[in-house]
Amino acid sequence: MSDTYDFAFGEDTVYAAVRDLLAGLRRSGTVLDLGCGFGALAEAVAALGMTYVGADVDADGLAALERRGFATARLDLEDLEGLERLLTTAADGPLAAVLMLDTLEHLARPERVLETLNRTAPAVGNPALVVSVPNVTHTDLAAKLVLGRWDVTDTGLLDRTHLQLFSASRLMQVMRGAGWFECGRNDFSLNHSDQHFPEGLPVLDPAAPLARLLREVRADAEPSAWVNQFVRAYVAGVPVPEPAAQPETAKPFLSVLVRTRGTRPETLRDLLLCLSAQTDGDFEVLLLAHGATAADVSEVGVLLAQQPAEMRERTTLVQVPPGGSRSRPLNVGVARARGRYVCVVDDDDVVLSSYVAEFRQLAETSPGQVLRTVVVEQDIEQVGWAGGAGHAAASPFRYAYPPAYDVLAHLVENYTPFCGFAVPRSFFTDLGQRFDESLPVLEDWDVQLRAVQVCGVASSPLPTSIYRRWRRGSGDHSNALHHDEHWKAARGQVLAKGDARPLLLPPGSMGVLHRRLPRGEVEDELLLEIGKRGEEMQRLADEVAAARAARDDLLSWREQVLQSSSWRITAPLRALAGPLRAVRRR
Amino acid sequence: MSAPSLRVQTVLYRSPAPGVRRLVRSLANAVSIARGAGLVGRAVLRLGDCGEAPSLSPDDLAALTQEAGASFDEVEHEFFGANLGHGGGQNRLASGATEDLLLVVNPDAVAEPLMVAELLSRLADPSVAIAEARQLPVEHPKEYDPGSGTTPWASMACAMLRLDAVRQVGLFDDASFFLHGDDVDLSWRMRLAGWGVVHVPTARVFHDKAVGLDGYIAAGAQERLHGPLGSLVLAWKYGRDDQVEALGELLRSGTPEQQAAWQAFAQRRDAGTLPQQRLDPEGRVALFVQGNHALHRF
Repeated sequence: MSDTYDFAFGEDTVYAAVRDLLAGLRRSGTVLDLGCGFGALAEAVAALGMTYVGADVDADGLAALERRGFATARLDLEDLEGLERLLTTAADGPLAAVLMLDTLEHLARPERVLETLNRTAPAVGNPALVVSVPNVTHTDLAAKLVLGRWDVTDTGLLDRTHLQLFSASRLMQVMRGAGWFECGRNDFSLNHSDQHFPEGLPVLDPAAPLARLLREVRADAEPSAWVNQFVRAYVAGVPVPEPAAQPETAKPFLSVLVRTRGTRPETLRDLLLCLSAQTDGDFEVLLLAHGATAADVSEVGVLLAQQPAEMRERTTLVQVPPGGSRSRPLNVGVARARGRYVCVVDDDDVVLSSYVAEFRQLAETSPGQVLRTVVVEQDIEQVGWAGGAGHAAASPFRYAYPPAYDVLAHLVENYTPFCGFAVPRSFFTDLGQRFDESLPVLEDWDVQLRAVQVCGVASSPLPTSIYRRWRRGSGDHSNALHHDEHWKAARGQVLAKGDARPLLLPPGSMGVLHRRLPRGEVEDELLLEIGKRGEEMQRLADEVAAARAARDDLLSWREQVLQSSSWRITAPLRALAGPLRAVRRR
Repeated sequence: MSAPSLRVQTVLYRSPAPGVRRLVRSLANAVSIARGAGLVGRAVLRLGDCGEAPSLSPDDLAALTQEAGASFDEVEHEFFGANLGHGGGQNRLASGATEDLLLVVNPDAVAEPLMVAELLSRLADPSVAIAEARQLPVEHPKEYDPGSGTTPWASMACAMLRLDAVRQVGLFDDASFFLHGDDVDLSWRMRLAGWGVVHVPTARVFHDKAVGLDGYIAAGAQERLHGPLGSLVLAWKYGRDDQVEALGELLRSGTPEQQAAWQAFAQRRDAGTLPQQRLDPEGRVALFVQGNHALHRF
């Protein structure tokens, strides 16, 4: 019996995805299908006006193709010389494309075949290479792995004959390593893969919070969560060896993102001075000039050029074009950041010399968690300096935020200003999270709530930064810029986002909830609901009883009529029995 | 007219070497910018060490000298071998100074790139003897005129002085003050002599203060002792016996450090070692309000 699969072409199959990708390449000529099996794509390729040639080691598949009138060649992909010969002889003219559908994963050394194809490509007209491979990072597989399940099957994602397992990144590495560069894709996605079994598994059933959570995490992290098969097209180029991983020590500990519109050079000077005075110098500064005019950017550039060498070297000025909310520059900054942690300081905040050092202290004892320090508040107001607009502190410090991060309290209100926390960069790069650009304000609270849920949080009671609040009518800070309605709307948006997915609480939250929830109110609410339902049930019961009574009355009357001697003379009344039947049917 | 010459001085006492080097690098940068703008000519840096042991190792000193070298014409370091206090150390370093201007700065400070240039620019006004930098991240609350910068006294955590005026009035009264109060005293003596004292908000200096768990500025034991002692001596020196009595009453029933401050003052008064001259009993410049020496903005 042949090991070759005889899958048929269908518009809802991966073959249609390959056909469409091939059509989009707009090439003409011969298509060589390596590992063609029974050649499910042969007719579809011919329909595109191209010449199909199938190659495989299995005779049954080739015979079937020949019966359908297609050219074939016998080829063992372990025979690289044979492959090279076939490539040069398969077509009369240049090869348009080479297909390797569900084939690479069956090879012990796929890179040898890919390298041979790459080496031969220039001599045979630089054909496109179209590849289809299963995705072992499909959400169904990821969810089942959480339970320790690895269900090998005869066909599908975990086909028992697969020798290679591909994720999106591994596919890219293998292809680039052999000199193949992606030029198109049409991945084939399935919400229910062949691994979506058994039914009712709490990690698979989308109604189960656990499955919901895993799906959200998987889908956020990387775009191929629902891809069943990667369907990609490549062109030949120069092989790129896999880059060596950058050691952790080569990255700065912290990336400080500083948002500025370039209009507050005087407060920005304050902040840069404070950053230059850090006792721990293992950080970088990304100065994100968002929508700043050329003149303002130039002024910021001068300010930066004046800094001491060590500060200049650790600071990068990034121009962020106008548009987008206050989150836009932060997403740009995160994409540029190299630090293991990321924090955000606005250009009117200032920090103590221990700002970076205290974060590091927390990271050493609680690696990977959100790091939280205390922020003190101080009022600031605009004043006229001799040379122009200036500012001055206008109040003592206020210890306005709690000494430790209280997860439950933060679900209700934000007690940690932006400059008071640092988030592992992995939260953005590995979990695929971003600052929410649809929020006009409260983007700090939003990202902090999400990060704390998945990373946890470590707190220090020490104040390390000063959140300077402009007095009303003084400065262009967010409090003055954004109306109360904006704050209210943004707050609703953050809460709605929180409600859209399962909520993760740290251990100990049950007890805290038990202590804090106003139990009387909870009970009153439930009892009220029970009472309402009870009244409704009573009303329905009364209606049913009344209907029964009415029916019994009618039945009794009917019996009397049917048995009476006056039946014949009461014929007009019999029509009333109609509604009676309807009630009974009900 | 040639650009003025500048002497920069800092007094160390158990000062962490990385912080001192950080200060010197920032000063070198700030002096370089001022020099580039033609605001300063010859510049020298002098460090004095009051510690029991040197704060800087030979390696630190070599590195520091190299870091300062491009901006300063001379770098000198002196290990005093005795704790002369802030004023005493600064006086020792300033003796024989021939420069036009003197910048005194704490070792736990960092100069903003334009700090030196801004202070120099303000001292172009010949009526000004002391120009004080604005401290960050903890801004001092004392009042100043935002336009002219005129202020009742200048903190010597970082201030630039006209040495002509210093030669006329003298520098720090280290016989009366050890750590605190000498800056208020020098400011008032300058003002009594008719010189201007100004705050320059565009001249920024980072002064490394910690904020405590309670949100207040953390004060060390030395500060808790010498702060009230300096206030007592100031009240005495400026002829305000009423303030001496009022403050004394508070201190005698205060914390152990406050009681010790009162005892130290009383001993000196009884021994007759307090200043003999009572400078400003009529209150022309000396201001005592709610324990401060200026009105505070908050």
